[in-house]
Amino acid sequence: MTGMNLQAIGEFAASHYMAMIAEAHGDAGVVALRQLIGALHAFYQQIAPELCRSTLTVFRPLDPTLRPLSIRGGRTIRDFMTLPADVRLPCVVQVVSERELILWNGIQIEYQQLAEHSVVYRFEEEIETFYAGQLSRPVPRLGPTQCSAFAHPTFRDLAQALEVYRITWAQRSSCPILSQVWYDSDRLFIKSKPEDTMQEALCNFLRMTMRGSAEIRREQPMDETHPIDIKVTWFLLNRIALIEIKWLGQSKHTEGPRRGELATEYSASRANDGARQLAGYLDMNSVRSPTQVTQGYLVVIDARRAGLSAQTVSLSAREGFSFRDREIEYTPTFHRERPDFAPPIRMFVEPVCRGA
Amino acid sequence: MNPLAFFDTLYIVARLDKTLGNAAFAEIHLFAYLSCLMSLYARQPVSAWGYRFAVTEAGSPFCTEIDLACGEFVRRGFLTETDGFASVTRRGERELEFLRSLLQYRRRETYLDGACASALALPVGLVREALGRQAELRIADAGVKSRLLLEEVRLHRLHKDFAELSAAIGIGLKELMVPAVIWLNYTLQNGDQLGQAVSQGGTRA
Repeated sequence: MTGMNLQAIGEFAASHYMAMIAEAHGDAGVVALRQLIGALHAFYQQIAPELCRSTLTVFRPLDPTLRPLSIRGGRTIRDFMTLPADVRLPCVVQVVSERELILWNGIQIEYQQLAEHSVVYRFEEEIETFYAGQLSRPVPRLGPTQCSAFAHPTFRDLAQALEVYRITWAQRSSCPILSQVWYDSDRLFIKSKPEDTMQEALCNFLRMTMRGSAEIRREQPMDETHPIDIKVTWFLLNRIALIEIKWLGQSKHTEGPRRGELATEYSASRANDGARQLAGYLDMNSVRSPTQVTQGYLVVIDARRAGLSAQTVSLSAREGFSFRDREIEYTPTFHRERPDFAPPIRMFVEPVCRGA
Repeated sequence: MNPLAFFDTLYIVARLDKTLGNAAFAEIHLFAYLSCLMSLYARQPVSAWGYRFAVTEAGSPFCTEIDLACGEFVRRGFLTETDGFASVTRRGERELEFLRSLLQYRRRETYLDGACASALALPVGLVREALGRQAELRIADAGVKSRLLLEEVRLHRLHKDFAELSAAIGIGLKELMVPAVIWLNYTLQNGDQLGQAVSQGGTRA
């Protein structure tokens, strides 16, 4: 094999937080880690990590009967549904068992000292770190749409996943991959040829969050010249979904002598082009795979703004948001006429505006 | 009915039920495959696992015995099923409790436990993604419609990686969640490279 570093997995393992905990505390440490991670899952189901603006420290002593913090005011939590009402960051949580925590609000502690006989987790400024013994390791970030490795939303339904992506990651361009499509920091102009990045952003999100037998693949050929942007295959259910992505708005050239000049502009008619294209793919697929249950989804990334020219550097809210509530009229209305064509999903991406 | 597949299916559904709220049928195959890989990590021969996996056109592992067990469990009332997702019933929990008391399943419970625990540290989608990037399943990408997985002649690279991993984290470690998660993380980061190398260089390093 050429170009392979056969030492890579050993080096990778040595830098991983789980190996660190095993090295520092052995099997007892890993047992503590499992219970701690289980508690984190339950915690983040009640309190979204994106809302944790201050430090969260969670620890589980190697000996679960120990109470190493002699700080008064710890509240025992057995019903995790009360966490949103009880937690005030910064806070410290001891994991007593899978169903019991002790919570101290408004305190900071010497967590390195605690780590001598515990596994300690800290969430601070969206960075997660484990401490064990004298050692510490960060938790690898698994995907750009994941604030914590231990809080991962999952979906059984593709339409639901797309809707959550629209609201949580597209609307304010919070998705770190999608955020790369912008020419400017106010999100007025798109970079030329953003399609690849948009596909990658949505594909990445779906791969992380879709449950079941969903296989998510990009640019799957429908015929010799036309690939569908994303294809989702549920192999045990004989179902597939075809996702076509179109963007609307104004792009600018990013390189060469035309850098900064206006490039392509797409209006609502582009969405209709996308709908016709998707209908064509569905027809092709019904001929090639007549026994498969197929559903088509048109995703429209809407970055239209009013009042743009090549020299525009800022927009008022009235101009920037003028298309926010302007739904696209489709002709023909494939989503009403065809059972295999889902209602198009328009994802309006908000600009940053200066002034009313 | 394969009793090992029987046990594995019920165990995996119960564990994923606890971690994720339910288990998709495809996920049962996935974690059974990962459990088998963990037994390889623990230096058991693949023949000792007790049943075989094939790769589907979509590049996912599939086992006929697991599929049969799922159907049988739903019929017997050990599992409930909704839209391709299964949960364990009380009856299923009692059956599992009984099976776990039998000596013949003790050792394999270690492998199942380690594999299923990876769902605590990784979204199931990434477990699926990581396994999909593993060389065995990547070879399936090349258009082979259906093929048996984990034939000993093709496992050289995997054995080498596992040997190196166990040297790095300590051979004596009982908890297999650690090698499972580390190996899955590693495959996520390097899987494309590994898959290409195996495709270019054949199945032996």
